[in-house]
Amino acid sequence: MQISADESLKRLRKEGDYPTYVEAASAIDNAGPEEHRPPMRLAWLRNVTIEPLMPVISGEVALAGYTPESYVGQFDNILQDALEPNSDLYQFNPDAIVLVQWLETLAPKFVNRFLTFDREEAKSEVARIAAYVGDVVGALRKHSDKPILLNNFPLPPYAALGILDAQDVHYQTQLVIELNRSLMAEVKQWRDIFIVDYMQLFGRIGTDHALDPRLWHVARMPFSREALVPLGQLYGRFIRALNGVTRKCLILDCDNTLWGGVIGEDLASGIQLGDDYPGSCFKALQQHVLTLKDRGIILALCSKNNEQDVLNVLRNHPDMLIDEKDLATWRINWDNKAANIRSIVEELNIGFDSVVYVDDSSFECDLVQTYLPDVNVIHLQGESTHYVSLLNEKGGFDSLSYSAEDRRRTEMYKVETHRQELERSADNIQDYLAQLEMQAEIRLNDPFAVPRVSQLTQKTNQFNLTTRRYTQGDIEAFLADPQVDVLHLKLTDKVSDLGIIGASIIKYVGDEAHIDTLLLSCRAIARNVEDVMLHKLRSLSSERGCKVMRARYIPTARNQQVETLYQRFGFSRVESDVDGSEWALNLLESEFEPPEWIILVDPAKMDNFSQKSEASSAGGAFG
Amino acid sequence: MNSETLASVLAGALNIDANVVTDEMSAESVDTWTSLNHLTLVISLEESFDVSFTEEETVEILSVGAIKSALRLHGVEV
Repeated sequence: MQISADESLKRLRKEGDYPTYVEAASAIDNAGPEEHRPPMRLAWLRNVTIEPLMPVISGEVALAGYTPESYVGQFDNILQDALEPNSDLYQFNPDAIVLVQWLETLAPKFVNRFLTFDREEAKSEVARIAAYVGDVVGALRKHSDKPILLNNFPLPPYAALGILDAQDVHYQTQLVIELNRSLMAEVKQWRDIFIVDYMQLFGRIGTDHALDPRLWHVARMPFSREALVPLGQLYGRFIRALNGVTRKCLILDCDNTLWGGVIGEDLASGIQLGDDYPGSCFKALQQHVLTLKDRGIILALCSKNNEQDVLNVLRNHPDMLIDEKDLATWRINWDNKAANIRSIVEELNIGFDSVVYVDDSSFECDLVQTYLPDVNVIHLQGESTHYVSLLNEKGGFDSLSYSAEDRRRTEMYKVETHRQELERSADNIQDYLAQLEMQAEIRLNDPFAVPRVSQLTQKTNQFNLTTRRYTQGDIEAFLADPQVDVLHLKLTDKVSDLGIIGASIIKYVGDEAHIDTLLLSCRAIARNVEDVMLHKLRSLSSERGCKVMRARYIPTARNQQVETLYQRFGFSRVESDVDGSEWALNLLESEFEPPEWIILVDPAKMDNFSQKSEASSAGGAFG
Repeated sequence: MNSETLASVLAGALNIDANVVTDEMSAESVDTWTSLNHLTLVISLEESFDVSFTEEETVEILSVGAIKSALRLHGVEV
């Protein structure tokens, strides 16, 4: 009993909570592309987990009238995806690219150990982060002219200096604000780059509600479940604006909308409008409506009243803020509202999909929505104190200056200006990887790493050649076995310490070495770290006098990307069937060097290793 | 009805038919029950039933049976 896509969108319009978005996303996914809903392809490049946000995005895209198609880039693979001309990102051919970059991942020291910077270093760090974001955008602009959305950074919930932090422009909070400013300056060099204001959104929701340390630690998703819907809806606003789905005209009811009460019953003198409650709620709504008018929105009235009675209030009520001159037109009569709105639309020569209609009556709202489905009908319900928020949330008046005409211009890069730093920016992947200053540390048979290695075998699905799951007990048994080596690789780069992100289990059988397990955490993919691991496996095998190294690839639904990994290292495919492929490398005849840009650091303690190799040369591997 | 809500939450998060939900279904047996969909599932469950799972529960409720036990612990009849 699956509901249809249209039915799920109806429910979504009524109740936009997270489970309804998830249900709608599933229904939309099952429905597939439809004629009246052209595809919208959004590419997401991210350094945190965002998958739970995707159902909200799908719902918003569908509500905007499109069929969602998304590409979500690999974890923290942003610059690689941007630089590589044939990357999955560009092959996906997106209509817009969204960057989601969390500051803690971009600059962990700045966020977590801010006080280790002195004043100058902190300033440089801000510049470095802004420049990095500029590099990413620059790389994207080399290959794509599509709109790019990128987030700025929320303020730290607990600043490094506590209450002292707010007192100086050089402290952490102010530097984040400065960083956000720098982002704006940085992206001005290109066209159609838009900032998604996380600082404002998280301020409005409150970081107490919007951030969830549990989800961060368990799944590397910084957003709380409370934040997912508002965040997705924020992106929804950009999606609509980018596609010109923007409302231009606001038509308002009068009674219990512009003022409290009903003229027909309370008379003009009895309506509530003024500086005291509840009249102040309606005055606030009028102020917001006038702000919309200042933004360029056309105003009109549609009310069931005697025209003179309403005009009397407009002209003579001392607390009335909206004036006749603010209105493009009005229909004040006793006809049905759908017909009146149709008449307004014809007079103004606009489309129904440009119109927002606001009314406190659920009857009128249902009627208008039924007869005029393209109108954005906002039912003012609940407390009048919340009317302004309601109109802000649901209005749909956003616009960006992006236009279809801009896309056709060939000299789109004329505006691009070069800064000094841009010349030093990474031109291709190798340069980028090199300037990461990666250092790898490989340890063998380390009992302290047993839990992490076991966990990696259990959790790693993509870069995993054989997907063999091992418990801690299993790993400990390998450690105790002189014919087996368990390697783990710890990686740092100039920005952060990634921890133990790779593992391998190699078994020695006669004069052969068999790679039982080879895997990399998704955090470390696309950096050629596997080259370092293979090189180490080679040397270990050669040192033991092995002549051949063998390995298997066992296919799963998730690890296609490593199907031919061993080919890169000179292995020959010996056998191939539905269960996978078998590879072999002649250790005596082949040679490869690990990439120069990853420095292999010898760990200080090699006690276990020397113990084991003594044991093995005493009687093991050479049979 | 809570069991219907549970079935529809599972259906949405895992993109399966709500009618085929059984207690035995788990991350092992359902292809689409990936770790990322599990995250969406947990969030959706919390929103639907107004509960907050602990860190341990979050990573351990990998079967429909386990989900039901955890929900009951949080006062949800299911």
